[in-house]
Amino acid sequence: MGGMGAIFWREARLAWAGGGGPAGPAAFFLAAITLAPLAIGPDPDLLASAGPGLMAFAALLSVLQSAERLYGDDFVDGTLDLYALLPIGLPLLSLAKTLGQGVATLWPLPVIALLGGLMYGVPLVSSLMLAASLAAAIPALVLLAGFAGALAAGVRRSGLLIALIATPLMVPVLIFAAGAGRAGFEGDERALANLGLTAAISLGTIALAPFGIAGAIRSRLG
Amino acid sequence: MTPFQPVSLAVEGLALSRGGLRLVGGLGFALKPGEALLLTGANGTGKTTLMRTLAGLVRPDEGRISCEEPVEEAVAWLGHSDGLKPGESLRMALRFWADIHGASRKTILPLMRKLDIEPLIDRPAGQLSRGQQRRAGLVRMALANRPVWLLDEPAGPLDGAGRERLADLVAWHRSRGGIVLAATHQTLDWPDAGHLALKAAA
Amino acid sequence: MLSYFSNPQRFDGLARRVIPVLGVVTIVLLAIGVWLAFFGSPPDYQQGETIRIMYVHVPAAYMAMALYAALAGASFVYFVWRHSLADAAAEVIAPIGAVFTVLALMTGSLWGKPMWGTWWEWDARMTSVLVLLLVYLGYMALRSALEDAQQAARAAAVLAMAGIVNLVIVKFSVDWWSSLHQPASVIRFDGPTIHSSQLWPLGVMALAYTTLAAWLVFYRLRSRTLIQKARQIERRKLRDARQAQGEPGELA
Repeated sequence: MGGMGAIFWREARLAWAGGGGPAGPAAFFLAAITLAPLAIGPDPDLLASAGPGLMAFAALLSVLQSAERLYGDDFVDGTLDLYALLPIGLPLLSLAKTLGQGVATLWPLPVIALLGGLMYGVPLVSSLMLAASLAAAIPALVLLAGFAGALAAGVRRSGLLIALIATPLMVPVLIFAAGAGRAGFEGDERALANLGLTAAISLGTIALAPFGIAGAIRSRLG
Repeated sequence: MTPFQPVSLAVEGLALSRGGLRLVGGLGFALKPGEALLLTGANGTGKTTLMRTLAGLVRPDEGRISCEEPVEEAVAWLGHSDGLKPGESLRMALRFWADIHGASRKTILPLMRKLDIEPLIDRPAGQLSRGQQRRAGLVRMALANRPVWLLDEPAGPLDGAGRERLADLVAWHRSRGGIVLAATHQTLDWPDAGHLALKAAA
Repeated sequence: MLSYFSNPQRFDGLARRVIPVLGVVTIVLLAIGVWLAFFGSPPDYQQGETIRIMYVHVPAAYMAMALYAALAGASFVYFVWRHSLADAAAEVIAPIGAVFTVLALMTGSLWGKPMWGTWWEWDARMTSVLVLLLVYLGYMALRSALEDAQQAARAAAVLAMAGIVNLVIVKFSVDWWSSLHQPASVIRFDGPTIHSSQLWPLGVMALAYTTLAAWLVFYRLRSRTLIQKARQIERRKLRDARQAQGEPGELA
């Protein structure tokens, strides 16, 4: 377990040092939620009702946008070989690594979503709900992106391939996370249920995805 | 450094392929503590694949690799790339690798001194030359404190002085009862090291 | 059994005999099924003649899912036991499954127009099938992107197995999602709502689709092994030619 902590912190540190930390995903997310109203029109009712879904979708895209880096660099510079030889085992290692990078780069997303909710005229309760469900969704999103990233590691222009692989995997998280914000807006009692389901999907992904990532890494190294 | 438990390594009837093409077959050799083996062979004869197989990264088609300890606990690996991050200083990187292998951080500096890169400790790896990166990779590998060293083209980017340092490091490891296997194109002058030439499979 | 047939020679012998049989059975079943669907069954009391679309749509949707299950099963067998035939099966199943999925989506859309009044409705069933198509596309894209054959095979197997877990959760989540806004789906196929006069054509068509898929799978598997054999011969010739020219193919 000590090894997991060391890997988590190293990956978080590297994400800051080498990749600008949270700047990339945060800027992308902000740009996406700025452009959306320009595309669909300034009608306040429309924006308020579409806002939570738009933001959950934009958050998903921000995660995908940085997915290429999750395993691509390590594959190319030989770090994955070294990681595979550590006694900690690839499943725990990939869990610590992916969450380390994910937490370091994606933490601003719920905060920006809260801000965006206010800009879109989404009621505060719903915005809070959406922010909470995004925070709950991030572990699942980043692990699924990591799974796709490990499968496509080292492929030239892997971004598109990663997006294609990860999109169907992210469908459930998107539905529940966006549902929490939307249901909250519509005054539906389902908001909490959606939040719970988002957290459940995240926990399930934490339990399963590391084995998938480990299998993906093994298959790409061999 | 705390001494490790010396192991011996034996390979029998190994057959390897890459991308569905057979590279070598019926390969066998044995190494006792303190011995070294130099693998030579033209490009594409399977040197790297053999090294990766010994490290447990690739499954052999046939044959057996036996060692007293599981591979993940016996092998220290230096591949084509050094596994360094351009934005990370050597100090941070080597500390991480020492921690993760349960080695004392106090062993970092003596090893860096052995390879003559001590003054570079606070430089990010991206600012180092290829030869300096190689030396740092060797330090990282030695930090793992494992009995079996697998080196893929260790001397590739090294200059003459670097090669001498490498020879010293290998001699030190062997004196502690370690095993060294290196795939190389260069002639490495390591005292009484075995030689194995890989040939293209028919 | 699988390891017995993983010998290419033996598999080729089997495939050569199975392919014509499957072909004949498929054509006969399709002929009977189509006749039953168009002339041998009454129009639906609610949907009228459009019910006949069901006989081509439902079996396509069923094959889309069944082939994915087969793909995941073959991937599992390959991943655990490393039978190259299982990997070959997974590789050839994927595009066939994708085509059946497209067929299911198209016929569903054709049926949707008279039923719902739109070509596309974000109904839970249709949406799940659309996600299934994305899964197939991702699988094929990964396979074609990885150059090393063995890496491609193993990575694709991992993805296919993850896909089956995913599809179960997608099914649940999409049902949940669509139930937020609309009452339960308009059409239900389960049990009593389907009349026995509709069951016959549906059953025969489902069987015909199954043998059609099996036919295509065997056909593609055989052509794949033939292509590989041809490549091997080509490689050998190339090497012999090189050695004849005295190039250092054997030098160490």
